[in-house]
Amino acid sequence: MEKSNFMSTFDDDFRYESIQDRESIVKYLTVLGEGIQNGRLLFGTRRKKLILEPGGLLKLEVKAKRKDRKVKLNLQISWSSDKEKGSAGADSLEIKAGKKR
Amino acid sequence: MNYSEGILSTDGIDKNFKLMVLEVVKQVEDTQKALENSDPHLISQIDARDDYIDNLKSIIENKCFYSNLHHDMDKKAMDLVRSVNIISNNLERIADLAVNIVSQIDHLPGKDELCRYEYKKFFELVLSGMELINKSLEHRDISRALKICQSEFNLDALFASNFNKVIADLRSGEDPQRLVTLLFILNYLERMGDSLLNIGEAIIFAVIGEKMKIHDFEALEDSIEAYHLEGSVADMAIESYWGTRSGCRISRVQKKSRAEGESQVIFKEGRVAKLEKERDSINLWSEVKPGLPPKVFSFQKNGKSASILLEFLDGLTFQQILMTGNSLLANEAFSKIKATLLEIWTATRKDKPTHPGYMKQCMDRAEDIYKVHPEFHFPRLQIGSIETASFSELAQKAVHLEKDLNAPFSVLIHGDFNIDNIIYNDEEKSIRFIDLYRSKPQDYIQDVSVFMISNFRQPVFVPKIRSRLNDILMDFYFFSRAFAEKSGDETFHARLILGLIRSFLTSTRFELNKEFAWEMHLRAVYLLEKFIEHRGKPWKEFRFSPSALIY
Repeated sequence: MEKSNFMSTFDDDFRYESIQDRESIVKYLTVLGEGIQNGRLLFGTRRKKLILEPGGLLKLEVKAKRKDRKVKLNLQISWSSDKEKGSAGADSLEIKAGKKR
Repeated sequence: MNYSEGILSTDGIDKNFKLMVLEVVKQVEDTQKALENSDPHLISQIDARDDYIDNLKSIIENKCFYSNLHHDMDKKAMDLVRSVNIISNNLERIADLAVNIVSQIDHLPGKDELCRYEYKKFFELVLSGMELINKSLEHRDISRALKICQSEFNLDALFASNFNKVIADLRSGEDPQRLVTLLFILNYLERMGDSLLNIGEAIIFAVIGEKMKIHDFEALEDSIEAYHLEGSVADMAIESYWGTRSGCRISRVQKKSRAEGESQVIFKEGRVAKLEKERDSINLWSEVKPGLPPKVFSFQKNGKSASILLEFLDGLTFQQILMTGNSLLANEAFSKIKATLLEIWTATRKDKPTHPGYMKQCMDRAEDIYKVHPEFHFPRLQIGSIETASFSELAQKAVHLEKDLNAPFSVLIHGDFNIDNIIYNDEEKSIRFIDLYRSKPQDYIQDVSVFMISNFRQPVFVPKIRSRLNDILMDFYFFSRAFAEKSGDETFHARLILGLIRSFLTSTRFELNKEFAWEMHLRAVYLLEKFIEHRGKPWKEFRFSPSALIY
């Protein structure tokens, strides 16, 4: 699939890529941290929203890597949701998290 | 002036010459027919015509050298006579090669074999070059003359590809006699191209009175650029009929040593407005710093298009130096570039504020960028409570903010100050500027930002070269910042960031490596956000970290 940079046509797939500095990246990490704490993470464009509800046991993977001048820190959080893909609630714009593929 | 009314009609050279062109064209046409049907009658006609052509050549030669037309002839008339003599010599050579081809026919069983190679294309190229000779000389038309020269380069390329095919067929065990015969024939046709090049060069000599070696053809490259900047696909199809840069063409020139007093030239053909602009800019630059731009040898308009013959500058582009040169050479050239800029900036400074409009320039090209990279058009996004602006929102904001941002003074800028538009001659230790058609008095930051990003955008990821590019970029940043401080330019940083955003974004349209183009786009967006964050505060207080420019 061609690289789609943001929200793809698949409703449960969101992607955001940007360049930040240390100061601005913390804003994102804080928001994500709060979302996990509250059990509700919102990702969206004006038209589509993806809401993830982390709960139960979450798997955390941390990978750090340095090769030549390139450094990479990978944080991956995954879990199983009890709701199937497409079983959205009353608000048709809200699409609940599907299974992590 | 029509040449038949001039010096050449005195002794009837014009008539002999036209006849000679006609006969040689016929000779080449008949040679093709003879190859296709081996008609013995046709073959004997070709032999007979060869004698006639030899005779014509001698007549022309005699008239050129011995007749009394030399009496009070000026240089221009003499050049013309000399050129006619060179052309007729080369026409005779073409006729001889035709006879050589015909002599191979007996060794070539099976005409079907011939069709597997592009012999028809060879004939087409030779004949279309020859058809231009009379008109080109008659109208003193450099464009047509250059098209004649171009036949040689096209024939060379055609020969190279057919040569490889013959070799491949030989390796696969096909009949060597037949294939070698074929190779001879194609080689004779290719050599007709050598003569056509001499003919084209002789016509150019008659027009401008100097010996030129046609070095390179930039027509296609130019029209592609024009398409990206302002044109449409339709315009490009009309304008780009000449070949691309081919290796054989360039090596041919490099192998030959140059004759005394012979200039090498670059030819460009394109829209009248663009080339007129280039010519005028060159004149302007010559006044400011003689010898910095190339010399203009001729400028000609032909309806909508124009052609310009420029001095070919010996040396390497700064880009080539950075990619292949040693550090000493790179540093030397770079110091020279900075010294030249300081001199120009100081000499041409006009203390009247100017408005560069970087974001506007960039938005004018937005369509071209999205055509190549539709994915850059990203929407507004939300991550928890953070809302990111869409690209067009960011750009609109910046366009708006930029309205209040003027450069305090103008200097004469290059206008397209890429590292491949700067040539350094190591022997003479001199810097030259090329491609000056966008030059004008404007904010120096335009050249600064284009130069910086033209380092960044080199698609080279070898660590050694990359770190050299990064060093040049940063050094240039500090150099221009120091100039700004010395010149009392308080909004340097704010204008620079906009210039960089513009250059990052517009560079992506030439970058088909998606990942690298995306990287540049992301950096532009980052810088846009930094710029917009500062709104409401005085621009002279704005600063940004140049680390976003390091790759």
